[in-house]
Amino acid sequence: MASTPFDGSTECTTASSDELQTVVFRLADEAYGIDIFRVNEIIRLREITSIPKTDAHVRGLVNLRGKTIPVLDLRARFNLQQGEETENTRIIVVESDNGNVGIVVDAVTEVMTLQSDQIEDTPSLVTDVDNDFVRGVARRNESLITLLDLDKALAA
Amino acid sequence: MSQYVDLFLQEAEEQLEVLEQETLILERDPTPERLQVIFRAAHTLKGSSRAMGYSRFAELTHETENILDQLRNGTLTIRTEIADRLLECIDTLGKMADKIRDGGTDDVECGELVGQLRAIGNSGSEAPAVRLEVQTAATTTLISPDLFEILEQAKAEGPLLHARFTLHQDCVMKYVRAFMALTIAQEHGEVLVCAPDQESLEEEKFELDFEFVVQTKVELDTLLDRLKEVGEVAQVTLTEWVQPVAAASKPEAQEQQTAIVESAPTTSATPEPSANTGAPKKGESGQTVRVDVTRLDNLMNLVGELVIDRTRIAQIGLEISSRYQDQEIDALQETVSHIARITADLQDQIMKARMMPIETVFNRFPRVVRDLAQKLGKDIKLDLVGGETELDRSVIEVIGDPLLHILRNSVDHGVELPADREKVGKSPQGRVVVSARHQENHIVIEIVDDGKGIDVERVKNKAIDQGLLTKEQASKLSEKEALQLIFHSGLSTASEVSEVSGRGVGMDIVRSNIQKLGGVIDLETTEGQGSKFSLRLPLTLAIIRGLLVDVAGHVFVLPLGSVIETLFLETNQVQRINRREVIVIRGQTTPLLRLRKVFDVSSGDSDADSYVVVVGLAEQRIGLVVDRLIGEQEVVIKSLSRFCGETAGVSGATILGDGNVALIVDVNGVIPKDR
Repeated sequence: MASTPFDGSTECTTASSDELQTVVFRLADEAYGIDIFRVNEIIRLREITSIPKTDAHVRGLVNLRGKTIPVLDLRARFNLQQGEETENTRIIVVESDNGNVGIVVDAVTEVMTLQSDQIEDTPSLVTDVDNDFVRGVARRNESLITLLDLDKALAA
Repeated sequence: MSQYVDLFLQEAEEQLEVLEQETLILERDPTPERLQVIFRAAHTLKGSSRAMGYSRFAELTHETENILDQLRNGTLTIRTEIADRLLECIDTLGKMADKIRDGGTDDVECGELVGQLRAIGNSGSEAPAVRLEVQTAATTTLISPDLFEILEQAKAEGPLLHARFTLHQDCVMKYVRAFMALTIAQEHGEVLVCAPDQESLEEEKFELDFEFVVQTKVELDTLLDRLKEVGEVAQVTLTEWVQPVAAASKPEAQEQQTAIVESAPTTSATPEPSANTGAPKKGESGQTVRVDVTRLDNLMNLVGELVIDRTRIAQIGLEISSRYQDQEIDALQETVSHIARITADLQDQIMKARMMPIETVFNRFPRVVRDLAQKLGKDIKLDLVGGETELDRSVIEVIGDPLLHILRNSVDHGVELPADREKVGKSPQGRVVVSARHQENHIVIEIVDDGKGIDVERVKNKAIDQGLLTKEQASKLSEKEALQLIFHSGLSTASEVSEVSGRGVGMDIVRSNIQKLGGVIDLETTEGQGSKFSLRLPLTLAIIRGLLVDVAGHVFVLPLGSVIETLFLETNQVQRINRREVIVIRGQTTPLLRLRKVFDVSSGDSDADSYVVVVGLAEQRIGLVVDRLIGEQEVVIKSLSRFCGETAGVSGATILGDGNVALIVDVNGVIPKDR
């Protein structure tokens, strides 16, 4: 494999056998996808200890089997409207250079395999999210899935 | 091969440390025993670096060894210039070791240094490097008689040499020595037999002796010279192979040449070079095991989690027993308390395993003080006391720099020039004492100098000049408070900026670093007589005792180390000064800080039921107002993730018995900075 279709190059719309496994979740009625290899686990919402005087998108800390991990609120991060927590709300624990971190999402819907030719560049497309955080958009049937650039989305 | 590189580096590090420490003392106290120790260290380094093929390293150690040898047999006497060169060598060797560690070679420029060393060496007279003695070879051999015949046959194809090694009693890496010897022999010929066999050597299943027979065309002397380079050897002999006769009765049969490498007395026989230096304690092999520090860290983490779960189980046990009455539950309670005891012991033991003597930090100081004093033209005697005091690795790692900074300050600003000292009737030699001791659950480190002390008025004036406070404010300050200005950023009392200090950065960083560790720094000074910095640090950073408090439904942990007292707050006790809330405790006015406001948390209920936790920071006392006191508990500190960003007032987090996360309050961080 010379390059993955997601290394930032724009010449990746040609058909190839490259596949991307994505965890798809919902946030304010939109579907987002992140690389499954970055996902450590998905846990139910639990007590989050908030940290005073931190940025709005830092929800706080949770206890994950004896370790404390920070939890970020993607709605606040993306300047989306605050939503309600429901039965379906989940914390996706992802790996990052600064250790594991949890992100709160409205629901995790599915894991799906995307072919590289299903993925398009974003410029012309309009999503609710700042383009910086996005590395592509996948089209499936009539729905759109915004693929997030996790590192940028998590960076402070 | 890389494991040998590791071993080599480990050894190099140890021997270089010995070299540096002993060389520093040598300057003042050149005893033959000390020279012997230094010589042996250099000799060991030369041997192992040659065996590893680091030619520059070997060359430099060889030149160093030459100088040392001349010092040893009296053709040179130690003087500052020689000590300087030797120290320079040690530094260069250290750099080479660093390069090798980074995966490179010993490619560090040292030609000039080698030249200087040779020049020094030539100023003395030549002397033999190793004393040679003729001795009859031992008549017994470890080599199995079964092999004699094979060796006899091999003898027809070329001369055979028989090497016998006896290692030092305190040799720590026996196999490495054997491996080095065998490697050298292999370079010059072919090793036919070794005893004990290769496998036993590798597993270090041998006492101190090993032998081998090598078929070689090189001269006996040449090979012997090379073999003498192997370190930690008490005796090495090289003879032509003669088949030992069962009844050994003709020792003079062959011309035999034997060398005894003069060996230094083992460390146990050398008197410890006074209490203030740290000679590595070898010779206790068999009692100790080298363990990778990351393993200890992992163990500590695991115990940390165990401590959390222990608290958790204890809490669940209590809840269950309050709900049901059953014999089984009593048994559970008993087991729980037993587990609690064991966990506490385990934690204790692992903490002990992680303890290191503060010596490891102190060891850097003599060199720094020497160099600095020399540069400034001062004469300073440094005494290190209590180097054996142990504290946790995590603290050891971070206190080195702050201590060094204070020490530099004492040397630079504290101790006067010899002439100035004589004028005021002091001895021209200044004295700086660094001491460490345990006090309850803390370690106290003091840095005392007998210099000119700190001129409090000048500090005040400087602070006024630099606009840190007004004249009026300054006049109100007590002497103690004024001294605290030293720790203010931007203040330096040195009239000129020197290379060493005087930029006004430093003491504030020192203080904030100490406080980050949960420590306290204090300063006393008597004009004309000197200053004393004292540091009080926790023994470990991993687990602390904390006071759990409730603030609007949130649980916070206050490090017990900084809590002075707690009291119930009657609303009518609160007074206002300058729109700030204060409370008078036994005549002392203490400012109040409501944690609800500090952390911007609130709940619907009123805060009528309030307690004050009085915390102390150096001279300051602050009352933190909380809703409720929950209790005292041992907590495991978890650092905050980078994702949390700047968190003023919070130093970390911990997991409580109920599984929830609580934040640990950074007492220093919650106090408003404008005071």
